[in-house]
Amino acid sequence: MRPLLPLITAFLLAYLFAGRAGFLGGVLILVSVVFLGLLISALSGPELVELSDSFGEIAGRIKNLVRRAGLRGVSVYVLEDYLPNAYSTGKKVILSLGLFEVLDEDEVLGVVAHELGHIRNRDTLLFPLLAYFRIFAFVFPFVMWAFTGSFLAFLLYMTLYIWFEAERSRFLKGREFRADDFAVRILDVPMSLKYALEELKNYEDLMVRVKKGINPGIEPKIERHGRGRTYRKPGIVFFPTHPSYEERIFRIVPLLEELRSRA
Amino acid sequence: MEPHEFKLTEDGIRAVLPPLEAEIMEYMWRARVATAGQVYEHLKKAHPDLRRSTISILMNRLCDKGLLSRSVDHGRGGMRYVYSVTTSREEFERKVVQRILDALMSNFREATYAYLSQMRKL
Repeated sequence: MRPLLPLITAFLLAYLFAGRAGFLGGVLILVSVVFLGLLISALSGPELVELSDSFGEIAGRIKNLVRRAGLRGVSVYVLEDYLPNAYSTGKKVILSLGLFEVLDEDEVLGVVAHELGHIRNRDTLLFPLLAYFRIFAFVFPFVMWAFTGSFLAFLLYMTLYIWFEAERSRFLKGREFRADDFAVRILDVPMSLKYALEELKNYEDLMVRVKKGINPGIEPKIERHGRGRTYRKPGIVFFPTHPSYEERIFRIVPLLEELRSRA
Repeated sequence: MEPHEFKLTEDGIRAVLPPLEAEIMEYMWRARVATAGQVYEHLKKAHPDLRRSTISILMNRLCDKGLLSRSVDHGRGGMRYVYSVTTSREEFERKVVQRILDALMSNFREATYAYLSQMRKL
């Protein structure tokens, strides 16, 4: 895991700058951040409804998909939110209610398969840890500045933080691709993930246009004018954690071709 | 819903709503309550390239405008969003006329009076 390299370097430098106290101080801060993070995530969370048989045929199809993924103890929940969204945590897959409105059944299964890919690849354990490490990597430069009184040490640690961000971004994007790879292998209709991504891309593009008020009478066409800002993303993202929809679709297409030629 | 624009070249509610939103409202005034999926299936006949996401966004936009309201239905088939009309077509049209006349009266009071009284005589 390359994101660990800047952290290991930070601990080595802490030992060089402040000896054993610096090193142990770093360990203490890291453990505290992880502990607090776990505590907060255990105590908070949105209200979820378990996807039961009352949801109709799709509930059975999702159960089959989980079985095909070779996973046990996975539960699927629905979150009351009109924006289409899906994520996984631990062994839970959470789908927003808006997702069912925007995608058809096969496409929802495509999204679930992607989330199952995250669970299968243990990303649901790794991602929170990386989030805690990120807080540590940001806080530690200030702690070391206060501890050593050296602005040079602070600048050095901030450089390590930027290095960590770059590695984290690359790592997380790679995990998204891996989850996609897993998804297309377990889907009855492998193309459904591609269709889901296209629909979600369309959603984001239209939301931007609606919010900007560019075209209030949106016509049912996909017109993409360059790479504008996308919905729910700030204009400047130095270290994106997710590949763009285009990047994902671009990778899925040859993978589908490969799977088809093998079949 | 307070219309802010009136397009002189458009017919019916298209004069105050974008074309696809107008079509959604025409369907909704007939159905009164519907899911975005039902609206999509209906409009897809006339617009084969239409996407589910487009309908979802526009229906939520109509909610923001106060013409539709969204609620969660827990009936058979699990949870789902259903949309209901908040105003009748007649009431909507009445509000449009009222808003336009108010705007004319505040901007062109004499000319509006003159024209209305001329119309009354006819």
